[in-house]
Amino acid sequence: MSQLENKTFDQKVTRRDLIKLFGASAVAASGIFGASSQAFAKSAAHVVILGGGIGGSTFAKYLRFADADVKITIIEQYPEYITCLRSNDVIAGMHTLDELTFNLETIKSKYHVNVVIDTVVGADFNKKTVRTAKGDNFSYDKLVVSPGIDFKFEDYEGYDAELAATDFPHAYKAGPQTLKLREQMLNMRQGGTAIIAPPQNPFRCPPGPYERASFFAEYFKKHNPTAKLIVLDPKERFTKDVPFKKAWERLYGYKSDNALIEWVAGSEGGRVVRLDAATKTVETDGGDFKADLINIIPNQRAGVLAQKLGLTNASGWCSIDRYSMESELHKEVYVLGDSAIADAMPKSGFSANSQAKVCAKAVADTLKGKNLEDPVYANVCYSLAGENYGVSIAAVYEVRDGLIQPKGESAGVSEVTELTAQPILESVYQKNWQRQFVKDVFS
Amino acid sequence: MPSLAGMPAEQIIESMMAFKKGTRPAIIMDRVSRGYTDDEIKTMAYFFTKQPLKQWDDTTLAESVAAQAAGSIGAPK
Repeated sequence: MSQLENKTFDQKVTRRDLIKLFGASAVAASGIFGASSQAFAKSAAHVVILGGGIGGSTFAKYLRFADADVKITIIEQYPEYITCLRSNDVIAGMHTLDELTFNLETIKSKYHVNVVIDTVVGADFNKKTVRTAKGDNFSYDKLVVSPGIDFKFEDYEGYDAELAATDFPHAYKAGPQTLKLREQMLNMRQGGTAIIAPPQNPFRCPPGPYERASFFAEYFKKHNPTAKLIVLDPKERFTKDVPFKKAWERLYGYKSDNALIEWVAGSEGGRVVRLDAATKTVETDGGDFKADLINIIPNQRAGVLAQKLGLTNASGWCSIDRYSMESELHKEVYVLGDSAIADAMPKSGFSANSQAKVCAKAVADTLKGKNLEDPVYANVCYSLAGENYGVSIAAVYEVRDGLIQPKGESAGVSEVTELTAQPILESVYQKNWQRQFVKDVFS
Repeated sequence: MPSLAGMPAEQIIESMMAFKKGTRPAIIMDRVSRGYTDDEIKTMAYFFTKQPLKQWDDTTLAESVAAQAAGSIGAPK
């Protein structure tokens, strides 16, 4: 091919250059940097990863691409992982939980990663060891923590983890609560009222509550047309609110007399402060709302493990070095994904995946005594405002003035146009993206 | 959807530049392309063109999961 000989383009590009450039999911595994076939040398560094979700799994795989010889161990609590992303589809009946369930078998065999199913109970950052519930100790050279989120039930009088596990599921970690919420939506009486109460910022998957609201409205439109969904929000704005609200107008009569969906902003009394489980009533700053179905998605903080290990600051989240994801509180400990404070980057699976790639390169370079390079991160979030109606937000990120900020003119949400094909294509792209993304993470 | 692996570099660069300028209709690539400098786009294009040509993997999610279960691409359940 002629362009291969063109000197302008003829520069040596390694996989790692690409990972650095994209900070994205586009670099598929093609075996360029396969694992070394030799047994790991006794002198090889040991990188221990706590959490085998999207951040941890991606990190293990891409660290292997960057370093064929490093010893890698993932310690994960559960043998199976259900992705939170697309779990709203389970509520709507578009996917089963099984279709969102993954394990680490491929990461283990294909990338020579030691996988331990156990619960971490503590770490000694001086001795550089972690301790598990089964009583094992693991020594590390670098520790990577990707623990997801925890819920602040204390922000809601009368709501707690036990109620969430029974009659008032938050369904914001995919699993039994997801199925419970679906069952409640299907069984709601004709003409009933449902409430979804999104959390205050920052929280996992910023469009998640609004996609969920859209799915409730879509279900009501087909099967319970006199029902109503009320979104009680503590905020004034939410991500992609312009294209979401346009979709609600187009699909669910938003702002009309027959609206299937109503959104109450914080300034209009949308903030939920109390749940009365017995009477199925929520109290907000603006008064009481009685409903047939109540879905409070609680305010959030860094995952329990991050708190237990002392990686969180006063905000409840983990501050990190923007060039490497290394904790600002403990050297040689790195924090990925939802728990990390990543400035303009949303707490999404895509972000965790992108951060894991940047971190893998930083850890590999550090172990080899190389200097860190300027990272590029990326995020794209597709959401559905209906089964065949997608909206998206995207940005590429760089570190500028000490913060992770959008690079170039990349940040933006779907434009609202009169092109009917646009939201359909967005929904198709969303499905393609999910399929490729889970492959990038888990296989 | 065209596969980037093995695509001629010039075609990738032209497409990215058109997305960036807004002369090619886009769903997501308008925003993504604006995140990269012209040099970065060239670097990517040159990487992709060197990859073995691969047909876009147009499977459904259910098929992906089934393939995983069979151990061909991912984690068995």
